Amino acid sequence: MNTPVETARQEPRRPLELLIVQMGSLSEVLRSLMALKAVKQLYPAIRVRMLVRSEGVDPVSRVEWMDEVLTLPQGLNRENALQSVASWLGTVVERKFDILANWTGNGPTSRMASIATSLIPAIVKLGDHFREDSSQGSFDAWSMYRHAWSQGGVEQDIHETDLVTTQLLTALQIHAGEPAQDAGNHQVTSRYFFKTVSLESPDNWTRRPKGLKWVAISASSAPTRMSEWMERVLRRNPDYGMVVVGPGDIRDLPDSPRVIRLDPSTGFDTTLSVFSQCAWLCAGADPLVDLASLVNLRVFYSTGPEVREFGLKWAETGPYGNGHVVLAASKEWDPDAAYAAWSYYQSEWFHKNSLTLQGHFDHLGCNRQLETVQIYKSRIRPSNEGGGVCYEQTAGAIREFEAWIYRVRGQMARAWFCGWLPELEQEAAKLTLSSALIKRIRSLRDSVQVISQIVGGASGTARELETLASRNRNGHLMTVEDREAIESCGKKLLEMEALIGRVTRVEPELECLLKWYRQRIHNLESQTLSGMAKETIQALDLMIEGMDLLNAWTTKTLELARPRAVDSSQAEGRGQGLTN
Amino acid sequence: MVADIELLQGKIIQDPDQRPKNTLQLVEELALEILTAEELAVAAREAV
Repeated sequence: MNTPVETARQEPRRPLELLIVQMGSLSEVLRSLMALKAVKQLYPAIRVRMLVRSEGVDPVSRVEWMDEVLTLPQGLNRENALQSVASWLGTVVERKFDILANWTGNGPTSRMASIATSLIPAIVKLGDHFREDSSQGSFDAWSMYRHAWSQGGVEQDIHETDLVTTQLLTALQIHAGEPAQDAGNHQVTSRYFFKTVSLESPDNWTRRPKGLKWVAISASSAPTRMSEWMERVLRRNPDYGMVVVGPGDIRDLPDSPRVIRLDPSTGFDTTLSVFSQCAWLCAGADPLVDLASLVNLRVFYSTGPEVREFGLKWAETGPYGNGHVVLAASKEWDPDAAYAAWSYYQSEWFHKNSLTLQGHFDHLGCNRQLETVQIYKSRIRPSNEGGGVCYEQTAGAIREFEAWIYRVRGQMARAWFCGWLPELEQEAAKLTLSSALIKRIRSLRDSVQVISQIVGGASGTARELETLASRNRNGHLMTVEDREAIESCGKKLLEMEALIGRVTRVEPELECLLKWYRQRIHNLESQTLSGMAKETIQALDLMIEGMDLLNAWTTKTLELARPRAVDSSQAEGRGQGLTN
Repeated sequence: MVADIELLQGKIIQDPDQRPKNTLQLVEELALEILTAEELAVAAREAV
């Protein structure tokens, strides 16, 4: 006769019930779908529901594998609000979720999403929630990381989609086990992501000239000089037509049968149908970019100067997938540079890299523009390189130090959460070293060493605090000496935090570590002093881990820059090679 | 359908792990947030 455990093992497992709370913008909803697609491929049996605002209903309800779309109650007034919300919640609660992940970002609806997250029961919860003191807290470390870095203005190289995907996959691995062996062997994106809906196309699109390739252009994110870019395409690429989509205006829109303006209020289904006939989407930050990424439409993405010249924040929400092209401009968007970049990549199949991007800019007489732009191409990394999307610079202005620190920060996050890092030797071998980079890293190294010492001291103090606090389990009665010692430890920790703050004012690139520490401290969970001290030790240990990684990178980079003796026979060989 | 806070609280509390003590406060907060968002959306539509 079987034991109860054996019987339980033999019984088919009921599918896990997952609820994603995404009350953010349409872009956020679409990025969440991209993340869920990857999760669903690895865990096909999981039942997925999404709670979205009314703007998100159309795309989510078109997803084939979406089990249910939930929305908040609508049409409330001051009299019936409480009862309506309670009734709505009553029906939601009945679904009994196993995992709830709040993926809503730091926008105006984040509070609403946090409250809903706190109210809806689930066995495992991820993301932000609403605390009893009416502040927002985070359930898991990835969400704290999002607050500290991704939403905290720190440039880091993990895309928002990858961030939430990894968060959820980690939770699933822990609570539901490894994914099925044959799972995940499919492409993440596909043109058939959404259920097809038969509908009538707009007249001007139905009557479009046949035999052309089409570029969709986002009107709302089009730069001021977009029409000049369109003129160039019309003149030099007779095989292309352009279709303008979305609300907004493009100044001096070219008058040509090869240019079509869709009604600005065109709905989701029609836009999707038009996208399926296009080869490119040309856009800036816009939900259309996320939609194009989902349906595998190639994106030519433009981004202007952000907080700093050639800032890299765009990479957290840029187009997702292989082969997208990004043009980052340091000043005003230039139609010549944009045309040169786009035309190079649109004819890739023809020149098959026999022509360089720089050569193409030269050929079009706009090589000087390369000094004011950066061009990137997106790629999905293979899983043995950590997976996720990355953007590789292919031409344009080089900002070596910014690229270096950006990469190191990404590695810190991977060390903290994934427990996996690429070999430092291999990573360092990819670096281009210049005297300016070396000088900058040397000055950074000094600050890293100072902060390492402070954090080391703080960790010792936190350990002392934990020892003192654990002597007094009930938290009420203690000797005067113990109380004074505890107070002194608390003061020391605050002083050390202030000291780190002073160093980061001199070296702002390291402020990310302080932000991370503060976010961890904001989310201390324990109710006892010794528990809080333990969590502080953990936060400081993570900082030490980050500092160690930074130290390893600075040491390795400076080591590579050190002059080395060259073997004389090799030197002769090289000399011969040059003369031949 | 549950239109009673106590009943709702009971439903939520049946869950083994997540037991917010302040259900009524949270329901009020959520209702207020939804109302504010709706009013803002109406104001934005009227402004256009």
